[in-house]
Amino acid sequence: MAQRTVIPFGPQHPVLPEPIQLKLTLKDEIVEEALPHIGYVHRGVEKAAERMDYTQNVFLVERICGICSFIHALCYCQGLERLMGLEVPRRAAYLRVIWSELHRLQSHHLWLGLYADAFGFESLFMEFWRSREMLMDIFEKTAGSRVIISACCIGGVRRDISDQHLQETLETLKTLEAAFDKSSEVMLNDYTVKKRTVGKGVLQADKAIMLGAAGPVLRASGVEQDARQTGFAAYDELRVEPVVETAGDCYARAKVRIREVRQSLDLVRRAIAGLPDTDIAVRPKGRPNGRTISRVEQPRGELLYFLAANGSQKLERLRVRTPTFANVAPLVHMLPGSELADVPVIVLSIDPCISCTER
Amino acid sequence: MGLIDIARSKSPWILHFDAGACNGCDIEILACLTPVYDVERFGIINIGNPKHADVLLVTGTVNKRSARVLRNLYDQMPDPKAVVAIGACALSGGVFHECYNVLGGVDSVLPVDVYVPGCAPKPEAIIEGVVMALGKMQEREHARKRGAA
Amino acid sequence: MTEAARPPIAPVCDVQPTRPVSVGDLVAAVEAMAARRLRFVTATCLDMGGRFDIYYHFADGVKLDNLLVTIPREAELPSITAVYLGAFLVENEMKELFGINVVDIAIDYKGRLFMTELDQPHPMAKVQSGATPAGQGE
Ligand code: SF4
Repeated sequence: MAQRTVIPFGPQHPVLPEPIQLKLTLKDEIVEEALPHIGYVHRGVEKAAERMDYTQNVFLVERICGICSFIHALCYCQGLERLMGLEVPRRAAYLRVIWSELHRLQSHHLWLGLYADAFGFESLFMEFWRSREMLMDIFEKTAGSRVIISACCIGGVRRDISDQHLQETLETLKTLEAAFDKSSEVMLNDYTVKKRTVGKGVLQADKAIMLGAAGPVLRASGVEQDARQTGFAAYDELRVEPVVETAGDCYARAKVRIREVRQSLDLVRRAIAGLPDTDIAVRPKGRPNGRTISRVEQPRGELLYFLAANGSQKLERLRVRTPTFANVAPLVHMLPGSELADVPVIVLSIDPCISCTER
Repeated sequence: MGLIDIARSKSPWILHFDAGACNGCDIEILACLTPVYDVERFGIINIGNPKHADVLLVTGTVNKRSARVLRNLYDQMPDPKAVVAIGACALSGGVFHECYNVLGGVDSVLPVDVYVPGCAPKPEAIIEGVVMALGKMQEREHARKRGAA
Repeated sequence: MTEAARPPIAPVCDVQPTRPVSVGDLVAAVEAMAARRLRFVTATCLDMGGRFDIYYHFADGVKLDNLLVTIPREAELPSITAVYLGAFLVENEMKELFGINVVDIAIDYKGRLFMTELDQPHPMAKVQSGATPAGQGE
């Protein structure tokens, strides 16, 4: 006889690096309903951003997420620059792309590792994380810190990357790519990995749009949208083609990210090759006034900041919409019908970042 | 020193809880476990079960909801145990100390043995923090035994 | 130039295109967006003192399309989750943080999405309702 059970999954769970709780209603082994409960890491960043002055906020928004902190700062600075009518020097725009793409590489490596760990493939996890350390070394070398690099500032970037460091970065990326060839091969073609991921947690294109999915989750369902197409920073010159898969399952989501790693490698190389020789920052003049929206593409998807200012030292409102916030609804849709054993894999396949979500 | 004491100091098991971090510190803790830093060679293992853990690593600011879970985890850990607070957030609230949903550092909920500063602290610093916590744990255990004898 | 001496600059408003709609027409306008197969991105709520400005952002390919609803404080706001289920988180957030009375949300956390019963309600609202929750006499 079928039995109904309710299982709380999280917030502290061996395979779950993130503090989210899902109340799973099961019929035997099959999930019937999933209800997310969040609030374990809510801090109140949006309110704090109204209290601090707008230059201090750069440091605050960087700490919304420790995995893509540079891109948060970039999004914020970009919005403010628009409100203050600042034109960022080209070299700064290119450096922003370089650091953003390095962050994407780092984040995708991190995710690929955690994902492998979710289906119990620990050696693959270790492989990806070993490669990731190379990227952390690049950050440490170029910006002075491993995690929160604080390289972005209003009007440009805070520091330049020397030619020698650029060369060393290119060298490191070569090693990284060789390692990535091997480990991504396993992720894509291993029999067991495919058994655990192909056909799991399917999200159709239509549903992805209606539920408002973002980033790789959206693109793995065949929707061609990537905020980098809007051409912020130097993406207007370094054109980006969205990476699209059509199957919409966990396997496709992993594949999108693997292909994006290659795309990012290519972007970093092109950006380094075309790095213009200008200043790296302009001095901000005036105070921000008005309302604007700033959008960038994070490793997890589209990030949107809404900034409202009134010409004073403090912002009137800063709204942060992070990609995981958008991907919770698709997740709730994907889970019903899957087996309990697949839940961790499916949850991880959206690359949840709860501290972004709750701010 | 008895066998159990030796085992505990040579192979401490750690439990990690994110009470409201930005993930920066959490990722650095995970990085400690991976090949470059590889704390597993010292017998340190990250586990999910509080009943098996000796050292609790806490990252991030504490809010009311996570404080409850944190307290719960701590109470389930067997004695002797140690708590290590990691990162500026866990120490005092860090940049978030003024936010409305932040109670403060971890020490507003639990007794903390070792504070590891930094935002985010480097993996080396985290490892040293764990080692210091082991020393403290041992001292406390000795004092307790002397007191009992 | 010192920070204080900086003159405010002319306001920039590039949340474009934005179409103002009335509360009554909101759901119909959102349905029209759904008929065009636009992706719901998010909603942004601004507390303007006596009223709330609420933007709904939709993605039309790479571009954004926005709706703006202005409601007085205390007024009811209909939920759009019947059309876009993905809006449930942001509507719950507005309900909790700003105290907007959003009605008929598909998955309703009853104003307890992020925080517990013991916390001060609606921390983002500029005008506090004054009621202190039980157990938190300040
Ligand atoms: S200390 Fe810094 S890196 Fe660590 S959780 Fe806090 S903000 Fe993030």
